[in-house]
Parts: sequence; C-alpha cells; structure tokens
Amino acid sequence: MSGTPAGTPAPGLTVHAVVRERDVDLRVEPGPGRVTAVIGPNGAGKSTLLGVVAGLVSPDAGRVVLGDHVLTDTDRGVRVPVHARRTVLLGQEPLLLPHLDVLGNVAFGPRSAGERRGDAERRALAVLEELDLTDLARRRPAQLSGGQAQRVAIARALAASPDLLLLDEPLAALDVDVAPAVRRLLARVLRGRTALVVTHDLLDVLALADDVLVVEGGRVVEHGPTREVLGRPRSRFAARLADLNLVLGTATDDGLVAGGVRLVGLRDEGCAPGDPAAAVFAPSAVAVHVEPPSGSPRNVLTARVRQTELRGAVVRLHVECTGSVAAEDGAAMTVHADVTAAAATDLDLVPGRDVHLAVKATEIAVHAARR
Amino acid sequence: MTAERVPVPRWVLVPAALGAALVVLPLVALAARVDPAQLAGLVTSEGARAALGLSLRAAAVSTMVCVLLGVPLALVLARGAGRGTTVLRALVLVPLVLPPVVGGLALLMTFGRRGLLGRYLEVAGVQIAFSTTAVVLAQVFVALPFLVLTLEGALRTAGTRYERVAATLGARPTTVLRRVTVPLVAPGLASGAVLAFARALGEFGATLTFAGSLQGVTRTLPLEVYLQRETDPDAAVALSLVLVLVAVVVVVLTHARRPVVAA
Repeated sequence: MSGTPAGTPAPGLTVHAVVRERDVDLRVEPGPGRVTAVIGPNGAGKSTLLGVVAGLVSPDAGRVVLGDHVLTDTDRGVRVPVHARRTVLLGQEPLLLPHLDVLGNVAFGPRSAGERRGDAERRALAVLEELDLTDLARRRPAQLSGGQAQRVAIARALAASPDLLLLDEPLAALDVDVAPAVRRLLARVLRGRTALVVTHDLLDVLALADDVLVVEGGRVVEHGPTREVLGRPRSRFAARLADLNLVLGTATDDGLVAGGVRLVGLRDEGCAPGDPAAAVFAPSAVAVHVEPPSGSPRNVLTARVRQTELRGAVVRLHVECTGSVAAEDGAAMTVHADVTAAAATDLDLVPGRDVHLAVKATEIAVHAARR
Repeated sequence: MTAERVPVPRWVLVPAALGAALVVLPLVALAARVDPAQLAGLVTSEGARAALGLSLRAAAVSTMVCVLLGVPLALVLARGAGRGTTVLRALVLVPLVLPPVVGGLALLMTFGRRGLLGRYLEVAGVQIAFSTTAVVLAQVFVALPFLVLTLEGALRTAGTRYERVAATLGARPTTVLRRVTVPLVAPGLASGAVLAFARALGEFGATLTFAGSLQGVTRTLPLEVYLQRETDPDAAVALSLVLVLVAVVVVVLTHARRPVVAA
C-alpha cells in the first residue's frame, strides 16, 4: 500500500490563513509524520483551517505549503485545485458514494489518479484487507452500519494515498459503543502520517494525537505535545477539556501504573496491559482525608497540598503526590481535588498540609493514549 | 404507528371530484368511441404508420438532443450563482409558458430562409425549415425546459457534498461529473428525459408553424390526428388513443421512481 509511513517520509505542513469574514488568522506548522489534534470552542475556526488546507475555502490572504508543494499562495496567485492537492478530507459522515459498492468506493481515489480499473481494485482490496474489511467489499453503502461505513471511508481515504489526512470530527456521528473500535483503527493507521484531527473528545486527543493545537477566536492559542498541553494547559479551552485529572502511564491488568503510583480503575477495551494509557478521573471524585482512610477505597495516595483555589462553594486543591515521580521531568504527580469550603476549613487544608487522597476504582477510567 | 392526518374541509371534495372528472371523463369518452374490431386497421393505415414512425424517431432524437444540451444547462443553473443565472433560468423557462405557435414562428424567424441564422445557412446550402430537422428543433424548443427543470431540482437535492469528497480523493471536475454527479441524479435525469420525450411526442403548434405537414417528412402523429379529424373521425380517435396510451406509460414511468440508494 503506498502512502504508508514505510514509503517516502511524511511531508511537513505550513499554513498561514486569513479569512476575514470568519475573523480567522491562523499560523500553524504541524510536524511532519505527526498527528495533530485541533481543539477549540465551536466557531473558533477549526473547520475553516481544514477547508483552507483542502482547498475548499479560499483564504483572503495566506499560504499553504505541503512538503515541497505550494498549494496556496495568495501573494503569487497560486491556488492548486482541490483534486490536485493530495489532501484527503474525512468528516463526521462517511459520504460513501451510494451508487458504488465498497470496493468501488475504495478504488475511487486510485481510479481518479488515472490507474486502470484492475490496478485500482487490487490496491483497494489490499487496503480493505489491511483494515479487516474484505468481507464488505461487495456490499452497497446502504447495507453497512454506521461504524462499518466510517471504516470504509477511512479505507477510501488511505487508498487515495494522500500526503496529508484531514479529519473533521471523524467519530462524532458514531454510536458510543462503536466509536472505540473505530478510534483504535484510526490510531493504528494514522501513526507516522501527517494528519490534522478536529475533535471535541478528550479520548480522541489521547488516543490519536502526538500534538495538540488549541484554536480560540480564530487564533492559535496553544500548540505543543499532547502531554504538555493537557498536563499544564495554558489556554482556557485546553484547561476545560482537561478539567479532569489525567495521569499518563502504562496500562496494567486492573488499572494503570505511573511514576511509582499504582491506580486501580476501569480499563476500557481499547488498551491492553502494557499499552501507553491515561487514567482519567474528576477532581470531585477525589476524597481528601487527614487520617489514613478506613473502608473500601482501593486507591489511597499520600500527598501534600500545594495550592488552594476558591471556586464558588468549592475549593480546588492542587495536591502533590509525595513519593511519586511523573514519568519524564522528575516532577511529582499533581492531582486536583474538589472539596467544599466547609470541609476545607474544618480539615485545615492549607498549602503544606499532608493529606491522604482516596479515589474509588469505579471513578477512574483508563483509556488508550499515545506516547 | 399511524400519524393523525391533517383534516381537509369536506366541501373541498366537491371541486376536487369535479377537477378529476374533467381530466378523466374525456379520456373515457375517447376510449368509448373506439370500435375495438376496427382499431387495428385504423392504426395501421399507411398514413398512420408513417406518422407514428416519424413521431417516434423525431421524439427519440429530440430527447437525445435535450439530454446533451439540457444536462450542461441544468448544471450551470444548479451550481451557478448570481444575477446571470437567475436571468438564464427565466429565459430557459419561456418555452414552457409560450404558446407553441409563437415558438414555431420564432424558430422560423431564426432558421427560416430569411431568418437570423437561416440566411447564412441558405448560402451554405442548408435548409432547415419544413424538414424533419425542423420537427426535431421545434420539439427540442418546447421539451428542453422539462428536462432542465427536473434535472436542476435533482441536482439541488443531491447537493455538493459527494462532489467535494470526490474532489479531495483526487477526481478532476470532469471525472466528478461522470462518476459522481450524473450517477447520483440518474433517476432525475431519467424522469426528465421521459417528460421531454412525452412533450416532444405531443408537440403540435410549433411543428406545424415551423415544419409544416408533409407526410413522412414532417407530419407527426398529432398533425395526422388533426388532419384525419376532418376526413375520417374514427381514424383520428384511434390514433388519439395511441397517444393516450403513450402518455399513460410515461406517467407510470416517471412516478415509479427508483430510489437513489438500493435498499
């Protein structure tokens, strides 16, 4: 299959796009061979970014360069037409051509590139086989479930061997019980490709993205490795998306281990023991005790309060887990815990206070993550 | 689950029944006039066979011309924007509301010996008026709007989402048209073509004005019916029944829409 990471190295992308009507002025340089999650509030300009790169939206000013190819350059009047950009767009809906069967749909890209029917279908079959979809080859789109159709759409996008994949909320329209499997498939096929993935879902970011790009009000407000952006969010949106405790580590049989801390939780079927994973739990699910807690909680961490922050009737504690080391930079793992203002006063939860944190195993979800 | 129907006032049924009767009754009367024993003989007379053959051939050619010219025209109208498109759409619809006789006269002013284009064609040794070509031109003139209107509607309903996807997959505009747009609107194209064929087959006024009534050359079935009405009313009725039959087949064909997506 051509267009795989094994072939020519994935090209880098440089985008500068000004679309005045939508108050968009974006400068983006996603790394070559990296999957970049594009997050931000509705109307921030995420889809406009994809539209400009794909050539579906003409910027008032700007430049799009993919590898050695200048795709758009308003200064020099360059505007490569959509079909010649080698950028495939995959949206929420699979939009499989209803009059072609699955094989015909997947072969559509190679056929359009001028390949003969036999060659195009051989390539399509190879991609279908790689994605475990061979059984569907002769089905019509109307005979497919939502999840199957989106998988076929992914196969069709890959068979066109694009230099760049643009995914606009690719899992948003799928049932919750189907999305994880399609997400796993995407995580597998995107590895090593240059791709932009617009999403609102933290799980997509964790499972798919090497980097995160935060767009707010038509501007890039944050761009960096997923771990950094979600771990120490500087933008409001990233903070809200990551307004959950996020512990990155390695999945175990019954949870996750990270920097000397073992957490017991509910591992989703998307990650096997030994896989890179993220434990996710809400600050409100963390109980704070001054004495070691008795009873059933499976996860008890010794910690020290570092900072308190009043949020209405709730006090958010920034707590450092003593004895833990977050994987890379040697800093201790930080956890947020929400307690009532009354409890904070009663327990004298001030910075420097040693505490015990308890989290029920059922409150911790362990998801697949990228390293 | 059965949804509650929106009630229709009862008195509406009376004019509705009258309207239906006005359409159905004459057809029944026509059928009642025909003597089944004589039908075969009347329909297969030499003049009738010549007229029927000419009508079918001319209408078939007209339909092909309508498709060849109408598909691009509908595309321009459906995908275009701005005042130009609006004006063009209005102009294309003119033959739909114009009395066919006027259309025939207009064609004569264009392609007749002294016509706008006709005078140059005459110099080149080409005569169009009062030939079978004129029959086809007259039929295309009146039938084209039917195809364009139907197809434009189908194109608008289909939207451009599939075409965009096809383009990002690397398909050039012509490939998109051939492999995506046309297949997607195929049912609309089919019903448009059937409507155009029916309109062409029934064309009378423009044909008579622009092409005349020459047996075997320009005398189509409607013209033959009109002519026979004077001399042999029974033959006229029998031939009319043939046209009614064609009309019924057309209506059934256009209403038995195949769904775009196979179940």
